Amino acid sequence: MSKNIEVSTNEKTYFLEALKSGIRLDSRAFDEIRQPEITLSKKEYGYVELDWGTTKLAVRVSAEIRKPYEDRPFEGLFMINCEISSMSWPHFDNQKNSNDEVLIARIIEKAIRRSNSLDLESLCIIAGEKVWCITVDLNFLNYDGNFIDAGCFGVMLALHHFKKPDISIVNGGEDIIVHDVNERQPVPLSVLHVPVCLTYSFYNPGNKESNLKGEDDDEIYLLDANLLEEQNREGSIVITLNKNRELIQLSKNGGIPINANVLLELSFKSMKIVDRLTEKIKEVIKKHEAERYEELNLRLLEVGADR
Amino acid sequence: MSGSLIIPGDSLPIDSRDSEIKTTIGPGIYKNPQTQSIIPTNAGVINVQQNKAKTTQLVYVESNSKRYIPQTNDFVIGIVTGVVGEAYKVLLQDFSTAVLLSMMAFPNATKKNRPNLKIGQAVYARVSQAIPEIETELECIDPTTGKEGGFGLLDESGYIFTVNLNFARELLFNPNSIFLEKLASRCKFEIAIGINGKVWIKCGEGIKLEKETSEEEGKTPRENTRDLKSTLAAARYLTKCQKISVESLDQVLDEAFKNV
Repeated sequence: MSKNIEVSTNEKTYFLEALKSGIRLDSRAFDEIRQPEITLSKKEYGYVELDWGTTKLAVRVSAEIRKPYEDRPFEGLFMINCEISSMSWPHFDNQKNSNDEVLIARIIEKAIRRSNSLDLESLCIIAGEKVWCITVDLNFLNYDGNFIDAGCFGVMLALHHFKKPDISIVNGGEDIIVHDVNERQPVPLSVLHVPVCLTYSFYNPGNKESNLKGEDDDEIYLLDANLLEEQNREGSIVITLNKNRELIQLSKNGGIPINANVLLELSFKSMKIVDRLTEKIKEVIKKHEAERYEELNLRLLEVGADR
Repeated sequence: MSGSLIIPGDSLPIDSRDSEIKTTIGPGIYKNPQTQSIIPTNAGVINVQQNKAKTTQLVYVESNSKRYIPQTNDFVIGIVTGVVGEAYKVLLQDFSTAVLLSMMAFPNATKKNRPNLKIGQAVYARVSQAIPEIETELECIDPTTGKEGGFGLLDESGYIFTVNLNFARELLFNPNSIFLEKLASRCKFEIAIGINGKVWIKCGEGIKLEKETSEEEGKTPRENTRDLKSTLAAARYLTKCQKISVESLDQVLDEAFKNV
């Protein structure tokens, strides 16, 4: 069985010819992302399903109480487990991690964990003794390109959706009580900023040699490439930004060289999209909270009527 | 009883022991070799067709699936992925086992006069042999005439995309299908439908590669992109047709051809 897809010459020539005439095969604009469709779990906190075009993923956030690292007694623990199974695409192996998979996982981790987007100190319960350990399980269900952008967006969404149970410290700091979510309102995580990854793929319509020499710089760049576009790309760059106009990460692993001006241009272009995606997270979560609140109120009313 | 839903394990709405009627079974039906009884193995819509004299009947289950299993006499579109000895390795579906297309299975092919296919090119072929235990074979000859008969290399000016298996069957076998008729009201096109879910389509001239256009000075680049755009729009329209109701067909067609 072949583990990779075969792109026919027909598709490839169509794709490249269309690029030269300024059109994408799925009729998106060059700098247009696929519309994310979000499903938030109504029953539990921290479970999110995301449809990014036909790329699909599921994210679950969970919390447990653990002992902190000895050199960082005030900080909670935060882990992102990135699971790319062969269910999403037979090319990805279940047992061993290929370079692509490691790269995807690391870029997402760098964007979110290492940019301190989660306030770790707020996860501390008793210094040096007990802290919250937040684990994000990221499972990819279907692959149609661009796991990085979708993964990063999904994790940030789930972190906003998640709430950890409330706790109280008794006996002068010796014991802690973890309150059930039905007993006391659970507390949301304190998310300091929302990093958004955007992946641009590069294509060189002209001569390869003159491009390497830097004689022409008419590369075409596409935002949010799908599977076919990803298979044919000649280079890519991941730009991670947040709403505060902070550049968190730039990752360009090989591929054709790009002009510094292009990089600046792309970063500026990304800002609008970052704003829109951040706004989308906030908006969806707000709506979801309102719905949830309404449901809770209804339940309270029912109890009153019973009496 | 035709047209009702059936799932594996149901009993078939026919009397299989009735020796008066000769039963032919099609896809989705399994005959137990020991008991000679027949049962459905796919979930789908059951079809029973009897001839007028009620002496023979045909039973099959129309269902949708994603994996294509080659059957003899299927018309398929395959992508050439390699050469082994005197045969091409052809892929009928992503992530499937490659099938063989002998170099001798072309019209007028001899040891010296071989077809010249490159890796990545697409062919329209007929499944000449499909036995599960051995490698499946294709051929590009019409067996009745020994001539080309529409088979062979699909030229690179057309676009290839994939659809569901049942939609491919609908396009290929249903003479009353309105999808292609509607499309024909919009543009001139050439189409090849593989039962393995691949469709090759070309509107007008399709695309012309640069070297060809430079020889032919008469056409402007704009005319070239118009054909390209309409081919892509047609592909988009057909892909969407899989999931829509007949009423919204016109709307989808308009949407797909909006920018052309």
